[in-house]
Amino acid sequence: MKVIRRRNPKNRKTIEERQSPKPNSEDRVSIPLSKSLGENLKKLKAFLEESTDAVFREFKLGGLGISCALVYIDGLIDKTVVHEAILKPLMYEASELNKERTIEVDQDKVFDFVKEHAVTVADIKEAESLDKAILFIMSGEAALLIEGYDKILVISARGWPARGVSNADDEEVIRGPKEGFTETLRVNTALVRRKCKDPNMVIRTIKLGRRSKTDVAYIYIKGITREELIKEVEERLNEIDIDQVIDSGQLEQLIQDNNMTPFPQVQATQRPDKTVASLLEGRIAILVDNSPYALLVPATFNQFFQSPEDYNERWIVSSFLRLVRWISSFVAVFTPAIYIAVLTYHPSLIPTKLALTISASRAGVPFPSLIEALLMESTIELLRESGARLPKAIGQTIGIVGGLIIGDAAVRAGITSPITVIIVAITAIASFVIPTYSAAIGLRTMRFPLMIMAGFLGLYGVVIGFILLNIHLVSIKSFGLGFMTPQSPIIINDLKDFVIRAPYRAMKRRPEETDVIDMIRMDM
Amino acid sequence: MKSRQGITSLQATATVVVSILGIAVLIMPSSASEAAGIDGVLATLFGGLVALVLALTAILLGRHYPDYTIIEYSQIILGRLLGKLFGFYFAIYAIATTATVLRGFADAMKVLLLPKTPLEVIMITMLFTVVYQVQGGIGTIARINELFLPPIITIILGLIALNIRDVELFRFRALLSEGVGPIFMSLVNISTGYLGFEIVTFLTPFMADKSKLLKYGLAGVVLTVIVYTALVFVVLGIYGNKTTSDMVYPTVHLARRILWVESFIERFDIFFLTFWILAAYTTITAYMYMASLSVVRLMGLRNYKPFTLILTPIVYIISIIPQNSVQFTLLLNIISYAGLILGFSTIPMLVISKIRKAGTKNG
Repeated sequence: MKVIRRRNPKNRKTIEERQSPKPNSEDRVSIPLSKSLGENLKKLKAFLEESTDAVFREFKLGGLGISCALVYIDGLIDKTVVHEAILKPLMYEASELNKERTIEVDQDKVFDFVKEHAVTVADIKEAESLDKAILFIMSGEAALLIEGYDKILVISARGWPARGVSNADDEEVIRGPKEGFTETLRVNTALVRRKCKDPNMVIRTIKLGRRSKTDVAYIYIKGITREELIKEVEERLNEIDIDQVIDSGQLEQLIQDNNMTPFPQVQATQRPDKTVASLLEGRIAILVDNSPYALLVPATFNQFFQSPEDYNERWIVSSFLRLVRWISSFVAVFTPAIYIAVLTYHPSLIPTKLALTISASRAGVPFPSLIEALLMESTIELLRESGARLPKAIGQTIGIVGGLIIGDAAVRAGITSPITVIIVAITAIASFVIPTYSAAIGLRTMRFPLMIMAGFLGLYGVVIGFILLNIHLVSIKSFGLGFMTPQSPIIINDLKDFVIRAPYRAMKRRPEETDVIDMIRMDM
Repeated sequence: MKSRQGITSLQATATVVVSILGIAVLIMPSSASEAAGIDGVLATLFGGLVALVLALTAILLGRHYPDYTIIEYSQIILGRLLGKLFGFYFAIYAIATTATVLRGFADAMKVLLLPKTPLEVIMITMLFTVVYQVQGGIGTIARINELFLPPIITIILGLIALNIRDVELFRFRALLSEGVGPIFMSLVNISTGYLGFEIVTFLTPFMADKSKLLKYGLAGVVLTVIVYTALVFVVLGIYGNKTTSDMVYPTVHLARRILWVESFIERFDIFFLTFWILAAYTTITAYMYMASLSVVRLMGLRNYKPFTLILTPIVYIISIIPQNSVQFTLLLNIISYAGLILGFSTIPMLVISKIRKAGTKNG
């Protein structure tokens, strides 16, 4: 797969540069540990003591009397685990073991004893330097320091208040699983794993953000996804050098190919089933901690018109629905422009009776149709935006006040014609049919330049706008994949899952666009 | 995905078709009937065959030099000086054709769609769009062509299909009444309608699978032959050769005849024209691309993109030179014949390169 560089290659760091520690990130400097507990604790306290949520619990190892200290961030750990599985065995049960002399413990074996016999937690790691330990502490692990050792035992006791798995609000389906991703990365990866038990599904995690140290996981299936694509994703993720990774929406913009476009080149989804389906099509999913959206790369324009439901309904129904979506996307973008063009320049295009009705209804309207339509379209955008930010109950009120009352009043006041209101309303409804929010909003913004072109050049302007839009769309790449595939370049096999969703028995092969290794999806 | 690097085979077909289908779509029937009367149908068919042969030689020639465009291999075949002269001729031809097609397009737009809009506005907006497209490179052009081919072909074939039952076959009783003479005489004239196939001389280096250009490129020419012949057949069958000769844009008249859509679209010709803009646009783009690339390759440079911008005002100035339709027709005729000379020039070039190849093999 040819990988298109999205930035000037001169600005790109070489691999060596990237691997060497960055001089500007102070926290990459490794802080060595000493054998003295007091000294280590002092260093840790220097970092954390000012924060009130940091807990330093010093205690003696039961029976042996060796000083230990447990450090964790209150609120990020599960208190039951700390009490029952760390402190209790170390302080109480260890002395029991010692009393019975079942295991010989002397000073130089304490660390291994604690690790192997005392702490009853499954996930245990060791940290050789202080900075690593701090990173673990900040991620919600408990760090156990033992006198006489220059390493720290990191015990996983993560547990924090989190939102449970709930409906995928942005991508509701009638038929299909309802669950959506949550803000916790581990829960999300579990949701993905549950849908596909293939051991070839690899979940790899890196930390991004110089200060935020956000966990970012990327998931792919070995043997399906192309190596080059995996490498390209890794390269783009590693290239990111920013203080905080807030959300997948931000990450999406940091790894996308083309910045000068309103169209998303990465598909964001809330649905685990969609994510797994994409993985099986040779794509890569990127999950960001604290974000309930998975990013699927590479993305095509076609994908934004697909809904998971299409695969759960009979193919004739799904194909019909897809056709509705494609037509409505055209309606959402072009109807107001065509309306203006026809009204201003080519009234002869429409039947005479209709032309007469329209001109009669516009008799009292003081503005040219371009201004009139622009006004009404702007109002709709205003209503949509104000409704989106408000609580649901008030949002509905805004809808009723805006849609019904203002629309009706504007017509009665003679500012606009009823036909314009109809056109604008149809456009607005049509734009909500597209299943992917970010694609829909990108397409919707295209309306305004098109309307202006129609106002100046009639249908010719609309066609020029159409051409420009298409030039733009075909020139976009998403991780080296043409945005308009499988329409252009045409891939016959992939056209089966385009406007028409072919029956399953006809789609025995995976899509070719992602250039998967294992093409056979079905063998029956 | 390796096979999808560069221009795919289907994109090559699409590029050939949409480069040929341009303003000739509107005027082909009248020029055919003017040249050969009712025999214009056969003349269109045989003119298309001439174009097919020329495209075939051009592609065969390109196969000998798969990494070069005609600008470079003409210098290898004809020698440096003659080759440069040929390249210069090609560049001038491509620039002039871009301007002429642009003007022809704008004239038609003004007459048929936007009577009150200044010609300059139509030309400048079109030129801007074309330049934006050409800046994107041949890959984008090929993808756009692939996207626009279905609507263009659909609307023309739809136009033909909607009118075909009104064809009065008795008009064709006079077919060949004057022997093959008029057809033969008009052949050269008619084959200018197929100009645009020169694009194949520029495609080879960019093809994903160079061996497929022959098959898929020629398929494109064949498709246009079918479309043009059917179009001329329908127009002549409905209007007869006398009326057709007098029409400026007979195809548009054909579109106006369509009545059954009256209940929804009153005037089908406007609807047809909006699609035809796509056809004209792709033709202008193809020539603009050829012009920029030939100028740059002539100078031995690689990046043509800045030169597109330099050529833009030149194209614009040439396109506003004709003061009336008589002057425009003259310009159109001049560049058509210049294009045909170019088309035929590939035959001696192919012969020379064959002889050379044979010579090197024997020696």
